[in-house]
Amino acid sequence: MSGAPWICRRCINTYLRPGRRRLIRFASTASHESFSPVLLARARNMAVEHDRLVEETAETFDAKISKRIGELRKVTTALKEWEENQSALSELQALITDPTSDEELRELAADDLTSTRTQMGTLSQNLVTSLTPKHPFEDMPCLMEIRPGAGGGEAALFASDLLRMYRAFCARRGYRVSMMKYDVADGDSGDTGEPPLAEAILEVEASGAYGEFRSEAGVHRVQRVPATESKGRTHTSAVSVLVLPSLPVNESDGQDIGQADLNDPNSDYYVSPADVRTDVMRSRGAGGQHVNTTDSAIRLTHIPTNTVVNMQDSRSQHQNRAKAWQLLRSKLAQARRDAREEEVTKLRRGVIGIAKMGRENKIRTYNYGQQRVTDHRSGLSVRNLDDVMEGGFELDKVIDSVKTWLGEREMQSLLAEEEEASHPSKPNKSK
Amino acid sequence: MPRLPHTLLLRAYRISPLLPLILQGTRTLRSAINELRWIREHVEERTPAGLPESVVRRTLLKCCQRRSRGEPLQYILGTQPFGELDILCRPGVLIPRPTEAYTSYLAKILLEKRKVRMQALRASCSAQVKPYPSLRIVDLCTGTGCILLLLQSLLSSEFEDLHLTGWDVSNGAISLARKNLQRVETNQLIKILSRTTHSRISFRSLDVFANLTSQESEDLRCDVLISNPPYISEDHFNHETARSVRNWEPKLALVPTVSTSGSFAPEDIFYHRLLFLHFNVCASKVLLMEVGDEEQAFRVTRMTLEKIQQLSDRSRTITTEIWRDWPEAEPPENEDHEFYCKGQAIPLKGSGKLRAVFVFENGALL
Repeated sequence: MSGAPWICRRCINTYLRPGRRRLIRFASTASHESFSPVLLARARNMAVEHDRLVEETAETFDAKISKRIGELRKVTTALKEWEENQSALSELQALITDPTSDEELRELAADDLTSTRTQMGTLSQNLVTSLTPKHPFEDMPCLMEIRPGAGGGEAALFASDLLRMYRAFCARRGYRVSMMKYDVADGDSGDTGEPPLAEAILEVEASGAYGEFRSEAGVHRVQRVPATESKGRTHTSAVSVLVLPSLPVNESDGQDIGQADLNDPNSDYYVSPADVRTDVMRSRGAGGQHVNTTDSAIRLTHIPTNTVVNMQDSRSQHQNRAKAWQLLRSKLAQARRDAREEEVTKLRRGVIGIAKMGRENKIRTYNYGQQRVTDHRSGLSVRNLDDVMEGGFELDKVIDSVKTWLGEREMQSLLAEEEEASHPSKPNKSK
Repeated sequence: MPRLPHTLLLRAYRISPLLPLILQGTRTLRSAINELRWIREHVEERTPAGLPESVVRRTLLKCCQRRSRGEPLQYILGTQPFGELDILCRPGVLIPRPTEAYTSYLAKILLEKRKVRMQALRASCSAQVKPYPSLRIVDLCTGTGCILLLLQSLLSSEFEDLHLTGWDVSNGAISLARKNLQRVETNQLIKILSRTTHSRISFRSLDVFANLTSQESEDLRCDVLISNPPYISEDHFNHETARSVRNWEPKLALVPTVSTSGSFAPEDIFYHRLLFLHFNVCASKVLLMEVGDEEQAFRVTRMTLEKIQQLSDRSRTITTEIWRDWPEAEPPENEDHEFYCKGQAIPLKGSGKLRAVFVFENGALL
């Protein structure tokens, strides 16, 4: 055995150390000398803005501006360190090349130069990391919608398995979850005695949950011999997972976006009540005292986008309506964000190649026969399928690998975007 | 009642063996699935931890059997949501219907009126802030007290001084309403403590048709009179009410049993009395009455207009409206917007079936 080929330590380190992961590709393609001038210009602009804002708010306090300052501070400090190092570097170089300096000093400078150079590498990385824009929903709690796709009853069974997996994962991480919606379809129940799942929405009430689960959105494919199969054939079916940001319902629990954003017509989170049609079940016959109905179902339709939300879980129509509105807001916010990202990607396609991620693409395969889980984006395969399905540490590994991949992609697109902005005539010059 | 098809029962049985039982009560699969889930949640919540699984199963089966005999789910679970509140229900008292729409619409109107008045008050004497006058609301035939409790929870944030009184002829209803009040107050304890305003709410027993004592007439004086009286005719009760309503809910709360001598239908007797109380006893400015169906809404409107014509004081301008099930909703195109009666156009507000008659005095300050 032991047929493993030799791997250089640097590769192992970059792939295994979580702190550095996001930077692999950058570190291998760009060194400190070739730090993209466009990114540098951008960082400098941001630093200037930071200083200006700090000066402005020296006297007064504005929550919005201080938030912006907080965002800029990271870039500013990273830039400052980088620039200090850069000047140190050029000084040292000047010392070495200066013919008047004596031999001893030159040796010392040469020693320093190597250490400064290595530092430069990390500082450049820090700078790029700080420049990578944070996803706007990153800090929010999230809603996970799980729906069976192709594959009939088996897909529904696997959807319940996935639901169980995410619940276990959240329980292990200590996230509070609640079932926002749980719809079952008719049909034979599986071996657990539960009817097949038609749609489930899991609310993860931990801030930052969106950032955690963002990479889970997409089609999850399963290959296994279903419990309902009598001839022992392997089936392939799919379950789609949708991750939506959970917007705060009222001011008190919204740290990120306030009520103002929900009421501002230009904001992504705004939904005009005039665009939404509310349908409730109307009883036949006289209604009123003649009947005592328990029907509390609510359906909201956002007319411009034709987004439909059904809610019937609670006995109280009031609660169903509140939940349906929450879900509708989340769906629309996500859709608007997606549309914007799509636009940017379209502009950039020539530069960074076709993006592989999308809701319609399969992102992961769970192969029961080989006890293997493969993520198609990061390319990671893990062999401990049972642990993954129990939401164990193996699932962490998979999710982290995708996050690394996402980070790299974002950085690439950031580079591409900046270079495109500085050379609009030659978009393919970069890399 | 049509027989349930075997295919439906079989489909229900495949989902859960308990479903066919519930299906006998609900008649539709979708609501049966929902009700089974609610019953299961209720049973699991109530059973103390540590009891064997078989106890839970037995309780669940018992509940489902009760439902299969048509007993309303609300009596089995003991509660019914009404707006943001959870109202206790008990056999012998009418279950709150999902008619919170008109209650919250009334609250909205009252809040708007109060806002206008506050602005007027501020403009007139900006130097000294007058204490705002109190608002008195009387609910006749209050039942579980749901309408009054919801009004209180919607209004108490804006109104400094609220006096709410609910009256009912049935002692069972009064004691249940008091229990509900207690329960709502416990649930909202934090909200109440953090509030500086105070509202007083009480439930008392009264036969609307008895001769009122002078004390009672005094207590009935109010700004807003609201009522959901019994309004089903004997014939409709026998033929058009749902089985669970007919067999399980109190007939006293559904069918007026007072002998009539007037020129109106026996099921309208309460409206006759309410109009009398509104104009002659309560001195109220707003009257809201729930009605059963379209014909009744028109009859009550006609009755109201006649009553207004008889008034001695011609300077009062009183407007009458009919509200549909969802008075705030956008009216669909296939529904009428107006109804002509005695040469007046009565607006039909919102969408749904005609549900309430609303009478108010223009320019009345609240």
